[in-house]
Amino acid sequence: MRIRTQFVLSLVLFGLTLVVIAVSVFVTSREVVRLDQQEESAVNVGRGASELGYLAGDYVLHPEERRRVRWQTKWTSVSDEASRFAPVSAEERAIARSLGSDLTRLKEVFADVVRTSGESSQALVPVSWSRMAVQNESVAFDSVRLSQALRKRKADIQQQNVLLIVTLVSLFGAYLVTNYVIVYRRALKSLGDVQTSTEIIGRGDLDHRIPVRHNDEVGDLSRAFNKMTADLKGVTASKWELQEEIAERQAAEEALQESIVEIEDLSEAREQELSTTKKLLEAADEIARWTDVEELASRLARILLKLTSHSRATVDSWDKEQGEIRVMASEGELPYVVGSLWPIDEVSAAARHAIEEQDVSIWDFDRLPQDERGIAATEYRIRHALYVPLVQRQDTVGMIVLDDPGDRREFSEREIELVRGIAAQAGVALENARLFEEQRRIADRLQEALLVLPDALPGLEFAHAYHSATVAARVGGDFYDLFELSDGLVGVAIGDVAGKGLEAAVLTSMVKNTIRAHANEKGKTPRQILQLTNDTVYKSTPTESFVTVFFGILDCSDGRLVYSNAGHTSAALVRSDGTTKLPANGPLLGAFPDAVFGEAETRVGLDELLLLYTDGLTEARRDGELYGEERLFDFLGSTTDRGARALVSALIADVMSYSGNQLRDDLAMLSVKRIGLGAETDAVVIASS
Amino acid sequence: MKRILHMVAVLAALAVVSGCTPSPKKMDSITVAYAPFESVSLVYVAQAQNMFADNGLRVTYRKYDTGVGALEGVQKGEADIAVGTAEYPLVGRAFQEVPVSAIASIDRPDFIYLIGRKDRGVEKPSDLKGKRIGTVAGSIAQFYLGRFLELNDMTAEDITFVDVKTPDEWRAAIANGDVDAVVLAQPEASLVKARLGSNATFFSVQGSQPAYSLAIATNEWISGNPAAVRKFLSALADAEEFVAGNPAETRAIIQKRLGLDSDYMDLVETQNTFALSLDQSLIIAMEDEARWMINNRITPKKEVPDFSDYVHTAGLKKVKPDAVNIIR
Repeated sequence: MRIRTQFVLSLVLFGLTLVVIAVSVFVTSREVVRLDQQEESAVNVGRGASELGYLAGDYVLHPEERRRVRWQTKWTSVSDEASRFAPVSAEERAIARSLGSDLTRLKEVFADVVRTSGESSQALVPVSWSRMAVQNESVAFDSVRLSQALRKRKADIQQQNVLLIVTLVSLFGAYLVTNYVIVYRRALKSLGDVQTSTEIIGRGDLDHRIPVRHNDEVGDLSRAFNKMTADLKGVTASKWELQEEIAERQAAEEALQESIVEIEDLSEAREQELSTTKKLLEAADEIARWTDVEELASRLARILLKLTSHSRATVDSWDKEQGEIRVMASEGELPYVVGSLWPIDEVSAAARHAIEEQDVSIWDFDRLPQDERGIAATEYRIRHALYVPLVQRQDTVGMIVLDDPGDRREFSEREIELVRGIAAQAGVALENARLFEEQRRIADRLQEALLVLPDALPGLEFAHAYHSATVAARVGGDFYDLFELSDGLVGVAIGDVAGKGLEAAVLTSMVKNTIRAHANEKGKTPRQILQLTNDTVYKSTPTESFVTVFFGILDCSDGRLVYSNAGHTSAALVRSDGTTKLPANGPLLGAFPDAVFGEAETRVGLDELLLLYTDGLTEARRDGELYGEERLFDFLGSTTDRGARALVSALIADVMSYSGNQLRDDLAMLSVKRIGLGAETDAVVIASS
Repeated sequence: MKRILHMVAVLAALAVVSGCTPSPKKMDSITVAYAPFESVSLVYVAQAQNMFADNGLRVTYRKYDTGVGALEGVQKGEADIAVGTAEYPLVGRAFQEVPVSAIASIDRPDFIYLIGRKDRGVEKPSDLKGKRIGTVAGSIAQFYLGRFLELNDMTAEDITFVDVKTPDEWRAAIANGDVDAVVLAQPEASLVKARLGSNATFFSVQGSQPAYSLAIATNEWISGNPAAVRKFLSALADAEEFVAGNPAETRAIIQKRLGLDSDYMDLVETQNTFALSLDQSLIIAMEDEARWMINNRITPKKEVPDFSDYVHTAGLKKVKPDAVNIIR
């Protein structure tokens, strides 16, 4: 049984006990009051019987009417009192009935006494007295008995009430004791088990289980405790595992943290290296873009200022033969005058050390003797400077000086490495630039030779333009040629040699001169001339060298044009009624041995224009879209000014406008207008850049 | 816990066994002399309800025709206790100084009647003068007859007293006219009256004064057997309680025992008061009867005995103290 049920049962039993006791006390009290009243009546009847005895004796001795009446009155009173009895028990009823009979007989006997009193002799007096006395005694005895019976019953009732109360209290007490013995001791024992078990579990034995003895609250508690212990065990195990895992993770995290720090350090170092490398690459890229020595030096100085925290960078060149140091570039605060020449004897010890020893060094001018500080310290306030020599093939070609005019700032390792790296590239770049400049000078002269046209030809008006995509590419492969042949014939050519630079220029020269040479051979057609040129080029150059060429022979007298187009872009014949395309009719020149070229013939009318151009025109781009032949021919069809110069100028303007002045390739253009013999105009160079 | 429960169970079992098994009582054997009147109904009830045995008495019953006969049986040693004997025979024994005592009154009957024959001129009390009237000599009936005569302005000398000792005698005497009237106790009175039919006259001669149906034993026996006295009275007290609480059963027991008809049984409830008592009225009544006997020269003694010497109250006091009220 559950403790709560027992508690409720105890309360109910206690309540019932109280109710029963209360009812019993109430009923008993009422009964006692009633019995007291009954007893009082019985006593009154007994007293009345005594008085009746006295009155009867009085009457027997003195049989007078008033005495009889007194007796009768008294008897009536006593009888009325007796009639109030409400006997309950059988004994009371029996006595009350007896008492009633006694009173009746008493009255009958008195009546008999009255009857006999008048006529009786004196001898009947004792008889009458005795008869009355017997009845009176009987009445008195029964009234006493009744009184005693009532008193006894009252005592019995009170005793029963007390007994009932005692019994109930005893029973309840016994219940409590039994409850204690059976229930509470059981509960206490179970609780004792719980307490003992909690101590065991508290010492860490999570395998211990509380014995579940009964299906009560303690049993529930024990089950819940066992479940909690089981869960706790699981949780503890998990906790231990978790703690171990946490420890491992903490260790791993610490290791990771250390690794992160290391990685961060490494990363920082890498970043620095990367940054340095990147800056070096940037510098290299920057350097590589410039082939002009002066410009390159200037860029180098700006790069150094940008990549370091110092305020002045100077790039000097060293002319060993003259024994002079020349300032090529100086950027930042208080720059040196570019072009300044300083004999080695007049510079500071630091500069001499860099030039002569090729050693990277930091110089503290404040510590140098005054006579060794040179003009740099006095005029340019140099105090603390990094000197890095520029070396090319073990020869000192110059030096970089990094400092802060009038200030002293330290140089970090990274800065030193960075400047050293830049210096290493700069040395090469300066040398390359110097060589490039020399090569460009040669190429320019060569190109100028290749692009030279006669000033004027009879019967023709012509204009030509050459536009280089970059400075470096000025020695490009595009060429054109216009030359007079015998018999009023004129050779006209335009070509595009693969490659750039001197090699391309040499090839261009070869092609141009070979064509011109074979064209002077009498009877040779343009196809034959290109085949002969193909053989020469193929045999004289590497396989990858090839040329696209349009070559035609124009008869100035009648305008007949025989041409062969070896893989070149279409030429355009601009007439009054439209523009005719003269497309390629043969393979590339120099690409294949024994190549066969096509040949075509057309006629250039008076005032008609023959426009030759290279692919730098049609491949000009705007947002990835080519200028193209269609646009070109539309333009040619729409132009109204058919002058050779006007056409070239308009076309150059259009394509430059189209490409945003950014041509991707070299552009060569030659326009020839037949104006008839007897008329000639000077050739016009529209653009050459 | 189980051990405690076992102990409780064993103790409970012992308590039940001890409560259910009565302790062996010492059985006393007594012989009770009685006359077959309703005034011994308590004895009948006690016998019928096995109350004597329950109180440790093994009772042997000896039947006598009258209460006087039963008392004589005790005196002769034929029985230990006589029941149903009225106080008047005890008064006679007192004059004779016979060592007997009443140990209790068990009934207050008003049951003595005179049955007269009309054909003999007995129709009202005054007609009794000169008539032959039969009754049991020495019995309460004789006293009530004498008192009846006194109260009706006659004396014993005005009639002819005929002693009839047994039922056969008085039934025959009234039937064949040997007597003009008989004074008998119930239920004989009603029986005789019935036999006379309409020829019978029927008067109560007790004058509203009940008699006392006593239990009488010799003083020697009483003093020698106080336990038996107490057991006997206890059984009768039980019977009194039964009678008071069970009127129908009591009526059935009496009717069966005496072979009475239902009409008569109605009278039994009004003319008897079945209760144990020893009160002062008994002494007064006995003294009155004693004086009557002296006045009528029935006894040669001239002095009324001290009847308290013939009433043994100790036994009843132990059993039912409230029922004892004797002035000494």
